[in-house]
Amino acid sequence: MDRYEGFREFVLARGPALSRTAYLLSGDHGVAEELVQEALAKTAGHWRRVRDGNPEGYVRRVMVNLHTSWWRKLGRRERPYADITEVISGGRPDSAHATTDRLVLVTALAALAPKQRAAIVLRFYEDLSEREIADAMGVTNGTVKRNIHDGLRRMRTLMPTLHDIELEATA
Amino acid sequence: MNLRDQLGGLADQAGPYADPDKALAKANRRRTVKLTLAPLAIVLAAAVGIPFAANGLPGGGSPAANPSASENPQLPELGVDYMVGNSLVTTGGRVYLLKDWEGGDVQKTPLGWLVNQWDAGTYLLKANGTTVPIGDRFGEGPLVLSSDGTRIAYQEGGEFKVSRITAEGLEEIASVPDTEVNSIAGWSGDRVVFFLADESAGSENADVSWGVWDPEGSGWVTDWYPGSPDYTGTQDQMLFWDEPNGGYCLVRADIETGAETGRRCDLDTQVLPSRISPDGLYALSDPYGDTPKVFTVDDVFTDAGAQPAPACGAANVNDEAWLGDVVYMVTGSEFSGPDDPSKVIACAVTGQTVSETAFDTSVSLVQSFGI
Repeated sequence: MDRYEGFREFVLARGPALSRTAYLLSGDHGVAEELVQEALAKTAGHWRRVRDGNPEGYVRRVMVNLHTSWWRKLGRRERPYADITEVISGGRPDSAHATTDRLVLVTALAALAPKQRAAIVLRFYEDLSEREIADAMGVTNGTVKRNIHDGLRRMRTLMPTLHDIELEATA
Repeated sequence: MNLRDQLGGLADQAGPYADPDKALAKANRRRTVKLTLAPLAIVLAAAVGIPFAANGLPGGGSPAANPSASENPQLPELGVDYMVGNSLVTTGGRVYLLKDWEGGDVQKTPLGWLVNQWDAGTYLLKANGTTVPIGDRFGEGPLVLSSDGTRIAYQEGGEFKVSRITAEGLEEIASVPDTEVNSIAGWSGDRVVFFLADESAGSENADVSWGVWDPEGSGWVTDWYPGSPDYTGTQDQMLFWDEPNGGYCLVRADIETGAETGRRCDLDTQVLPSRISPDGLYALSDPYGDTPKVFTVDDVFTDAGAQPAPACGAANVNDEAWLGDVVYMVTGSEFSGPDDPSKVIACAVTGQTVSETAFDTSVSLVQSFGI
């Protein structure tokens, strides 16, 4: 049996979703690409053990942990306000209001510690439960709560206009 | 502004980063290197006399850490152990280099350091530098240490388990099926506290109650008490924070009955019990604020007028570890970048500064249990 049987199909099917998560985790196209490729390579190395379980969850866990460790080693490439031009020019046409909201979000995300950012992305984008986030991050539920709480609070502190986000997100 | 929609819109700007052929090529290169070098590593390590512990290499294992024989003058001693880069710096001045360290958690126990190294497995690092493997636990959830550092609670293979930490590895004490709706909250004396999530809420579930399991006594949790706490426990009490109507209350409850035994909603601080010391006696609150505060938990319940004290001028605390009634806080690294200077402030629970130590890079602290 091929050691990597099913891996290529898995990547083709779930690669776009994993790419989106990586971009939200890092906020940088270059880092996101490195994140996805490194996570996939590590996953391929354990593919026989991973494939019958939840390979997408495994890749996601690798990305979360990689991003945290890279951040500590290399520093944050993304800076608040650094992506404004990219956000404005990239993607589909946005209204001025939507673009402003996007800029606010990019800036606020860039201000978070990596674990806070991961917890918020996994909770509010991936829609994972607290326990699933805890498993992905290798921390207790209490730490997940803390990271979400602290992350939202920090976003709101730095960007007062984000107050509405917290109210809607936790409602 | 809806956070979910906004994140979705931002995610749509991602490119097609996933390339299976490149990933497979990289995986194959690594496999080739690993198969080529593993026997060589064993021979080389045996020749230089490095102690072995089975740790993932075929036919034996590899040293996960090498203790440094001498002190490093550039790495100051603190009152607690800490990590800088891949170096574990101890209070005795020894430095252990953690092999292949790409991040994870290090906790100190009476028998050594429990290292949960996310890409290289979990092991007990002994003072002599040898390691005892505990397994590849990546994605299996955290290892939750008892306050005396002798036992851990964890999930593994569809079960919740409690094991004793021995010099030879883990010795299982008890296990129960993983119900999927429960998660380990922490320890209270000899018992393990669990959360129970509201399963009917699907992925929106949240912990709605808590219960206690005595792994060396009776069966599984029988009584669940309302509350969605962050958690820490003492021998007979548990502490959690509550947010009634948007306020912040520190709540104390009896571990046997779940009955609330204390509540303070007028503390001049936001209370985040994750910063409570492992023994549950002391707390650091509002760490990300400009004026974090410290206090003795019992004081605020026995003295209605007791208020937390400013935490020695610390601000934006990114990491902390307790040693008795002193909290060590890392400030100034997490948000300003890992290559920027950081400072560790040791602060007594009275608000008196014990010491301040400057670093030219980022550090993280190692919490001790039972030492």
